[in-house]
Amino acid sequence: MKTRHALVLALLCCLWAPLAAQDGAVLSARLVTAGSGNAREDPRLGDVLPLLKSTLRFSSFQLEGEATLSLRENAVASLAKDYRVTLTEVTGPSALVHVSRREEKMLQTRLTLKPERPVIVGGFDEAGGSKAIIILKLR
Amino acid sequence: MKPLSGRQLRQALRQVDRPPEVRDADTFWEEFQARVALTSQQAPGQCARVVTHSAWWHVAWACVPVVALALVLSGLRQPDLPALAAAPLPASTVLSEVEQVDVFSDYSSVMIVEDEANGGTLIWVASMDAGPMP
Repeated sequence: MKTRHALVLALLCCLWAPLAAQDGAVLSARLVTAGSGNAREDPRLGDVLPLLKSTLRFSSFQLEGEATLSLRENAVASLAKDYRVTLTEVTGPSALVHVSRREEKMLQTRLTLKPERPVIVGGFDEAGGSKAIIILKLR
Repeated sequence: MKPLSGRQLRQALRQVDRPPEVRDADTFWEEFQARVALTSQQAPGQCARVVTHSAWWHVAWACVPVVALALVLSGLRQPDLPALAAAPLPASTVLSEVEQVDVFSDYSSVMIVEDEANGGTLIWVASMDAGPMP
């Protein structure tokens, strides 16, 4: 019995080891509403706030939703307000990123992502003159 | 042949096999204790337990370094390039790269802004009624 357990453990370890050694890259997608109203800074955007402030002239940034997706073919992340991010033609850190809303394609862009180097995609029209932006960051 | 008597038989046996020399008890026990002191013996409860493993047990333990190596490899990150004192690295090697942009809605312009200082890239699609721009 002990021998059988040891054998199963050894086989599992040998199968798991090469998988664990592979790159476990994860892409985070955050939907942010940028507006010109009262200054609001969502603390959950602390890592990208300097980038947002330096590149956009909005005074308010509100995180609406966040999702993660693996860097693999046909990975999908559903965000708030019916936004969806899909990955196709994935080759290593490079992927064709599709942004759609309510099944309507809005934008697609081919990116070669670098870890901790976010890409901001926007500004999609929202109510009240605000803009929706999607922040993609490879972790 | 005339049979031997009991006394004649005992005398004949003594001549063939001489009886052992009889020692006194004290001498015997002294020698016995000396032999006991030379030979170490453990109490049954202190005897070393001999453990034997099957070959598969050794195989299982042989996988431990493989697992440890996998853990080390998965924890390693891409090493940072050493900072060049002479010139900074080009932006394309530091920031994420935008190779292609296709817009499917009405727009007036598309801008790609690389912010090296904050380590990010912006893809901005200005709609026909553009709001605040970078």
